[in-house]
Amino acid sequence: MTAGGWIGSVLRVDLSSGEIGREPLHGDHARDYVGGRGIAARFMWDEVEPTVDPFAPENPLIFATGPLTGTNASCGARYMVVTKGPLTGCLTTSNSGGRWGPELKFAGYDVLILEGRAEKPVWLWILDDRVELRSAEHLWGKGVFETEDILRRETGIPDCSIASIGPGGENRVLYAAILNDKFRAAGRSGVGAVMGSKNLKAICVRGTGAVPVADPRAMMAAQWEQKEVLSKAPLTSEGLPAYGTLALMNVINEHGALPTRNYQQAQFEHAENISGEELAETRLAANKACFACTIACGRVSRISDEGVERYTVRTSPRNWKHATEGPEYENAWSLGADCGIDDLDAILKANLLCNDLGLDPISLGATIAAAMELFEKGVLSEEQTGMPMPFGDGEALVALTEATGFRRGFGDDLAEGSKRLGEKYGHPEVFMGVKGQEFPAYDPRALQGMGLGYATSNRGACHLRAYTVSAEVVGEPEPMDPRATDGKAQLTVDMQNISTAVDATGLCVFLTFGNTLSDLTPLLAAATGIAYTDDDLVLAGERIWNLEREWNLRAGVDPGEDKLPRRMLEEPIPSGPAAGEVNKLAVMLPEYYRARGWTDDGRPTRDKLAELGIG
Amino acid sequence: MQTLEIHPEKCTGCRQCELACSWVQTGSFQPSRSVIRVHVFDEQASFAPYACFQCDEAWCMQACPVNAIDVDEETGAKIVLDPVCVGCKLCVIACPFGTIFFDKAEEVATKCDLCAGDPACVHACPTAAITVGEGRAGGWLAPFGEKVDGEYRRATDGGAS
Amino acid sequence: MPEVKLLGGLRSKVGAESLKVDADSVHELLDELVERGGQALTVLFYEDPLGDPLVPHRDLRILVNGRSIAFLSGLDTPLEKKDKVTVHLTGARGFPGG
Repeated sequence: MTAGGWIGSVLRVDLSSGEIGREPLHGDHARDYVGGRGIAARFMWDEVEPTVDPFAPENPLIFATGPLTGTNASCGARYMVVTKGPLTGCLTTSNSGGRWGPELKFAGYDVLILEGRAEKPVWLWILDDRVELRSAEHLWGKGVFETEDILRRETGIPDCSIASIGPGGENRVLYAAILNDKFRAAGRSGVGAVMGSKNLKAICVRGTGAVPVADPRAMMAAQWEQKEVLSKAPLTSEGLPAYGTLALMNVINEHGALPTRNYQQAQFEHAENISGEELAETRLAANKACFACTIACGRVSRISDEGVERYTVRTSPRNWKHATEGPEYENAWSLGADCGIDDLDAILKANLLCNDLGLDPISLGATIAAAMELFEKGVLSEEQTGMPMPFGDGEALVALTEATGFRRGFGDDLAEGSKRLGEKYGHPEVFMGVKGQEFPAYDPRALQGMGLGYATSNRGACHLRAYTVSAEVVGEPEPMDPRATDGKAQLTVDMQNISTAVDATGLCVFLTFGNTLSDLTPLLAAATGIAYTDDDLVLAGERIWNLEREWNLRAGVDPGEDKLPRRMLEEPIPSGPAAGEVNKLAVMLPEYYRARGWTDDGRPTRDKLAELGIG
Repeated sequence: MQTLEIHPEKCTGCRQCELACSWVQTGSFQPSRSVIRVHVFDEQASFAPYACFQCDEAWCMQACPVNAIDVDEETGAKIVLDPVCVGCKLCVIACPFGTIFFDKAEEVATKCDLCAGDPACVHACPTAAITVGEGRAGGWLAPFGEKVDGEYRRATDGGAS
Repeated sequence: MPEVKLLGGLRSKVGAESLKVDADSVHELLDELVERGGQALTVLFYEDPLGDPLVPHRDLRILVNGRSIAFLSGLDTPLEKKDKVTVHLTGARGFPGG
């Protein structure tokens, strides 16, 4: 192993046998796949049969950090959870910040691989080189907040960082999340359900060791430069700290690209009420940063005094009245505009419940929105849902969020996600997503590039895999017409490769609102001692992307799944600035396959894989 | 006479100060050996770095049986003389603020020495939540104490009903 | 008169969330906002406030009926009575989202 960045050690825990092993990190793989998402995908490639059942003991759950996780590079907080996702059947990669990833590295491990299935609920305690499985029977059924509080007392070490599941993961809600540090989520694709299937309640980590770097002098120089850029770019120095990602609510709405009422409209008349501006004015308590982050986009907010009493829930987290984190733009959209709801208190409450129960608010909100459409169209009756649930009903949102976490009543249907919900009730057309995973908050009819990004994302519909919004709305690196398809294929390929590379370093993809790749390679080079260039990093991103794609193909996810729902392709946006638009995926997809160097039917060629060293 | 002034209302809880402090001491990133520590009060939306504020009474210095704690003439910082320290931890027990630590690796007491007048944590803090002040700690600490006390009372009142 | 909606930090700088402005072009509209919010705004609006011709600041984003003026006629984009204009500041410097 090299002199720094990576610790060089992998911790492997077999939950079936209780066996705990350590092995060195594969040096060549670390270099070629960098870390995090990449190194974990390589483990999946080498060790896991792609057709494995996501809930089988043979499907591992991998927590992987990158070489810059735990260093003082700004935003070096991230870890990636990698497994086969139950929502999508794809190789899924779910990212989280907070303090857990760095803590794992301080404990002496780059990667944690969990295999098998415990007979009874357990939690894993990692205190440097002391690693043990303990009974979690007293924790089973408890929410994330209480679980963390109990484990802090039980370990007697308040500085530990905990990643855990709530009832959502225990009950295998197909989009259950893993939460760390109470409010930070590896949210998408159901990684929490996989953890639940392993009978693993929590992973508690405390590390007192060091993350070494290969070239200290270069590291210090590189990180000062990186932070200097972040402190000058308006979005990372002012925009994100002031409004968080929620700044986007009004912006996207003004573009007529804010999906509303399960994508039936693309502009929400009450967007202002759930905007970042409104949150900052009425409910924001503070900004909060993840480990080593100099941006601090995290929102700490409070439900309004009046909102605390509104909306009934049976499992009331004790801290309604205290500060909680969120909401992000995506969550405020899914729980808000997509459900036609304009009450920030309802959104905050549902968001808080998602954190405590361990659910992905994007998929949850979108699934409730699909059910609301079915309810309004008379497909679902009040007897079936247990309550009236028209669009705009905050009471239904909060109650159904809770019911879903426990799979109670109609919540049992909602827990399957909107694809299966639509199929069950004979209306598959209400599913707004790709490969089983619900869309996030940008209408691909108004922003053509996002449609291509959603359709080709390796983990199902996702905005973080190719954020073409950057060019189409924000206008960086240069403005591109959101309604044109020209150049979107290449843009999508470039963004997929670069954001994959950023994920692999252990940095946060949000820093790209300020930094370019050239700000990041010096950090990586200084930390690892390997002379990475920008091209090396892009190539690593391409390598990881192709490997994920090929693994998915072998898992049986056909290229025909690179598609969008009929509503996006054939039903024009009814009103607003982008009225009349549909997504022109059929134009972009062949261009995309070509730009990728794949076959016409979307398969990586043998030459391409060989060129990338995948074999 | 210098002190570290803490402005908790500006802190975002990012721990760059801990990284910088451990960097200066060890040449690697190891927050567990930092002598400035960030406390996160999740539900109060409050974050606060804390480190030795070089108090006048210096109970650590008075408790030390081997005179291993001295005053830096330039900055006024109380500093641990590593070769003299025997690692008895009496200073750790004596400090009412919990800002002197025992370093397991070196087996000596360790505390903020103000980096000889140019503290690394101050440079690393992205929000100027840590600054270098001149004069005694009491002057700025009193309003800080009142603020924390007030926030605590508000928070606990809010949670009681 | 065209209606202008301001987003984010511009609201406090101009002192309004939205307002009606008597303007026949985007250029005139910005003049009106400067009139209300003060000369300091010109630094945010233009690359060089004294330049000739004036070039919109790279961080300034203006939509006319939801369409960026980058794809219309820039500062010369004409405005009609029923037009809705959105003005906000962005300012990414990297390659957002990769």
